[in-house]
Amino acid sequence: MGTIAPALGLGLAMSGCGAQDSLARQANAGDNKNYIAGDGSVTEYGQGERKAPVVLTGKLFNGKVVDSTAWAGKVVVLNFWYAACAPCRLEAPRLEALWQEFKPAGVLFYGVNLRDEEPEAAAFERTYGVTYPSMKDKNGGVILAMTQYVPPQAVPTTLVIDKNGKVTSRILGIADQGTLKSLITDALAGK
Amino acid sequence: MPALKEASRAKPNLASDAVTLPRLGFWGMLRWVWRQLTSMRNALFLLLLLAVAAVPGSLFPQRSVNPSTVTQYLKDHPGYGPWLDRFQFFNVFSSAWFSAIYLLLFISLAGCVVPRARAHWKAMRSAPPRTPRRLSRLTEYGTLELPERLGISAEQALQDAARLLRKRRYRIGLYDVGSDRPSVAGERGLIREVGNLLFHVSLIGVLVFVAIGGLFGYRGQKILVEGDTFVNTLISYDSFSPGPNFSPTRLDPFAITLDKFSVKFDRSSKAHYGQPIDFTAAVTVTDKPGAPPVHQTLKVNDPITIGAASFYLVGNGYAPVVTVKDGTGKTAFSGPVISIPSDGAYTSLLVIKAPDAKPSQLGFVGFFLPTALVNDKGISYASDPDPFNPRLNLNSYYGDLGLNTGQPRNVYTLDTKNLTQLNGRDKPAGGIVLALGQSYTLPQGKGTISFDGIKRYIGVDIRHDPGQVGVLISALAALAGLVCSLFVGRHRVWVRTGTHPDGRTMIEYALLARGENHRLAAEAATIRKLLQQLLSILGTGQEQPRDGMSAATGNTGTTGGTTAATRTSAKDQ
Amino acid sequence: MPDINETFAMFSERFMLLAGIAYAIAFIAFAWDLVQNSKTTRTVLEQSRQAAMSPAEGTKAVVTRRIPVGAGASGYAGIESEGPDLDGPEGRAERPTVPSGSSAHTADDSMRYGPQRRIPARVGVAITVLAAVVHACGVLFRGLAAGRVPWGNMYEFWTTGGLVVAVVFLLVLTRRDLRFLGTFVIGLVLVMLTAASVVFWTPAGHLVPALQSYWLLIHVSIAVMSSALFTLTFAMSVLQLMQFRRDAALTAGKADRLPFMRLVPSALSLENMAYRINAIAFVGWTLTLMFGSIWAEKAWGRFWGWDTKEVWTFIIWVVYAGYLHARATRGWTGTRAAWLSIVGYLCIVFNFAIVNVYFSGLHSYAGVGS
Repeated sequence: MGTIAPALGLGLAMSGCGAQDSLARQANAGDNKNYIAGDGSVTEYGQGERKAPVVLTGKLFNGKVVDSTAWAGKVVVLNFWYAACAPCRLEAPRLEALWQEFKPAGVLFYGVNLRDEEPEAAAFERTYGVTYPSMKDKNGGVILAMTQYVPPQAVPTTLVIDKNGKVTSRILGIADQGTLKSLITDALAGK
Repeated sequence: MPALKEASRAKPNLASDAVTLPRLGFWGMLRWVWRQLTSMRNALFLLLLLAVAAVPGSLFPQRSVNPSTVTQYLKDHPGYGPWLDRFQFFNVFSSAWFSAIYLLLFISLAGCVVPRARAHWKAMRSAPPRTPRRLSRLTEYGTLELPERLGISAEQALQDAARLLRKRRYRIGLYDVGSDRPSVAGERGLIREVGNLLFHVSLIGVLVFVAIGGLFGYRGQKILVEGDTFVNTLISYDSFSPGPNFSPTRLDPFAITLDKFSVKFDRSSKAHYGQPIDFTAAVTVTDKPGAPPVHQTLKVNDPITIGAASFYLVGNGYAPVVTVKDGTGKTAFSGPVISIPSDGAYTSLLVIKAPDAKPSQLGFVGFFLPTALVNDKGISYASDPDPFNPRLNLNSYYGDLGLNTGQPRNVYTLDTKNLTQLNGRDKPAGGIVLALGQSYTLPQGKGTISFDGIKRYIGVDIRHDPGQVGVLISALAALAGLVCSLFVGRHRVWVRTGTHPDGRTMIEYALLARGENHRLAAEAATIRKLLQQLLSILGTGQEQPRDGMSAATGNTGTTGGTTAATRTSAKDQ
Repeated sequence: MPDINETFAMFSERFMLLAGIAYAIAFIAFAWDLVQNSKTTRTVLEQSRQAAMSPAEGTKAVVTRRIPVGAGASGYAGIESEGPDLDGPEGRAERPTVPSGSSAHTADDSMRYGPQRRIPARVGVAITVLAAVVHACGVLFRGLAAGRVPWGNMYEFWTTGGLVVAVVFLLVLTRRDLRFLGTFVIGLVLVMLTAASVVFWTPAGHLVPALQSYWLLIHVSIAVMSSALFTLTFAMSVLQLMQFRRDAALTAGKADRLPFMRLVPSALSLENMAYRINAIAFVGWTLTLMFGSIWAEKAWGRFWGWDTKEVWTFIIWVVYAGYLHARATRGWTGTRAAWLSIVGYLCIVFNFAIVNVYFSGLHSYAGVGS
């Protein structure tokens, strides 16, 4: 591999940034965990930096089609996950709690499942009592669509979409419940 | 290539330097270090040291090649493994010591290329050096003499010689024209030094572009089961190595779906029965969001390039489709499981984890055998890579798989620390053996497992290396430079004429090689022959006998041949 | 993909066996040549000693020899001091001929064929030609049997490699008299053929997908040709060191313990010839490395990945680069450079024999063990 990157001369000066460190550490770990983990970093996009409104369609495990046009005027939380991913398992109860909390305010929660078939996803949802629906995305349709806006870069990734359909914030890795709550609150407030 | 450092050798010897060292002060010291560094002797030492330093890179597993073999090595050698790691023996080629050697080497190289390039630039723009006083001291030396009756003056002979040299593509310079002993100097093969410099500069180019590729490129791996889709964002990768300056926004968003993977094994040859002869993956590529999907073929040695990234087929194997039902009768896991082949018959190791089984999590570890046979000791083994008689041989466990704490776990191993074994050869229930379509009920009402089907998977590498083209161009330039510097001979030639008091016109010539030149003697012979031809023809017209030519083949060992027209001598080589 | 032709494969093996027998005879002929010449040499030396003692007999023993100075890199090497009156054209028209480098101790430095007829050596060359033709048939039929280039596994690398060594040797023989290398080169070819048949024997078969590329033809053939050239220079460097020690011993007035070395040119000319061949082989090795990188980029997605084989290819390249530089380095005599050439060749042998078999890596196509 090309990482005979001259460590002394050129490498050191430029390898300062944290996210890259996390990726490099994972690359060197050789742990065969088979996913790219996030470091829990939160990115908020100010009004000016937000990309175009998200347009996508997906299919829920129960067969129902999800179309982003139906999201107009609503805050949406998207969580990318799969059952065997360890951090997703830690995160699931927190998301469910927030879903229960914000359901009355009209916030929509969707999981986007990257790797599982229906029975496996259902087993996961049973384990953690997850009641918000998840889209089956083994064919990568939702992820490919999202690359145009804010690409999910780790498992899990959580995105908050405002009432105009624009992504306002992204969490890479396990979402902290309090942080996500304030992100959703901000989105509801139209910030 | 040879003698690159010749010109910049440190003149004073080491001993005298050492003596004056204290008085040199800081700058003097620096100059001394610089001179040491750019000396040929130390450059050669660094070069050989580089070769030695590369050896551990082949003896120990390298993270850059496969990080998980390093992890395994550290586990197997807890004693000295960490020490090796501390001294970067698992990252030899990016280690501080290896980098130090090649950076010093390249600094030394630069410190020598620059002055030599300057010197050569000057040499190329100035006339060939003045004719030495004593030409006879040079390796290739000879004289010709023209009798007075030919009527060729020294001046005329010199002009003829100059024309001859120019025709043979020498750069020439005339000296002492008008004096009684004028001379012409010629030089050829300056491209040798150009090649030499080009070679060394191109090596720096290779290094720079490799660095650019390493800094801005990325490389990732993904296993795709038939039907799976890979989208080029970080979330889709199994593993990913970015360059230090990589930014995730550099990932071109494309999607690839593995539709079908076909494998062909040799069935015609007895000796190589079952050896793979073809791997072909039929894939569907979507270049960017919203683009129409295109069907393509991915093969070994035949990657697919999409945008700046390329997609390589590097591995394959079986993914048995398994369903695990838990103690409550609900499906806890269902889908293809990646199995890792360990030999040519695809004896494949696999691990199944059902973290959502109730009442306890279930884990399975064992083998998938595409064509299973049982030997006389009752042990199953794989005898063919095609799935003629597929079997799953599994042990089962229940307990805590360790996934619920959020800690990453190796998907190809089962950590049995917090698990209790249910099935196995030494357990009362025995091991689980499943043929295609069969299912098995676990002891203690823990659930069932069934073997539903077989899919194939491929391992792909996704890579982007922005330095690659630059490396290729630099390497080609280096090659061109190398060929010039090794096979072009650089040499000088001088011809001086004069008139003997008795009226004869005397000509002497000499050649001097600069650097390695084994063709010097032949060139001397040719020049001699041409001089003779030229002068005898020009001087005396057609009737002039030319039987003196045979004496002039310098390297045959004949010396001092004389004819009516010219009396000659050539120094024997 | 065409079927494997078992008949052709069988032909191939018969040819290999016959070639092996022929090489063995050639080897004996070359060895005999050396032995016979040491006898002749002894006689010649005896005669010349007598002649020197009684000059009246008219045989003049030439004892001038050039002492290796530097590496011949400087044009001034080996210049004897001249008379004082050599300044200009009218100074003198003729200069005395300096005796050429040949002496009673070593063969002609130009390595061109001399007038002397060496019957055993001629027989050796003739049989080598025959053996190489038969060997070529063996390799050809192996390729025909498999319907592809015959270098897809260890057996094929070694048989083809042996052929290339023999052919390169014969080609060089057309230009220079290197018959003194015969025992070594043909001995090596014999070892390669034997190793191929005994240790690495693999029946003819198709290529695994990783090798199904036209780069196999380019990359491997150039690697094998360069290695063959390095083989010649290795032998020369070994002889150079031996000749050097022998020279030193003779100068010190000791007895000639290796009289057959009289057939071998002087250390300096061996060094120069080895340098020229090494230069060509180094370009070949550079090409091997470059073509290998291009292929690696296509097959594995990176042009350089420090795979075991790549590491050793790099080491070999660096060692020979060092060799080429060494001759221009002050303080580095031809002897030390020769050692580098030898070390480089040992690395090649290691890369070819040991790495292929005992190291696992992406280049593990040896076809042995599994």
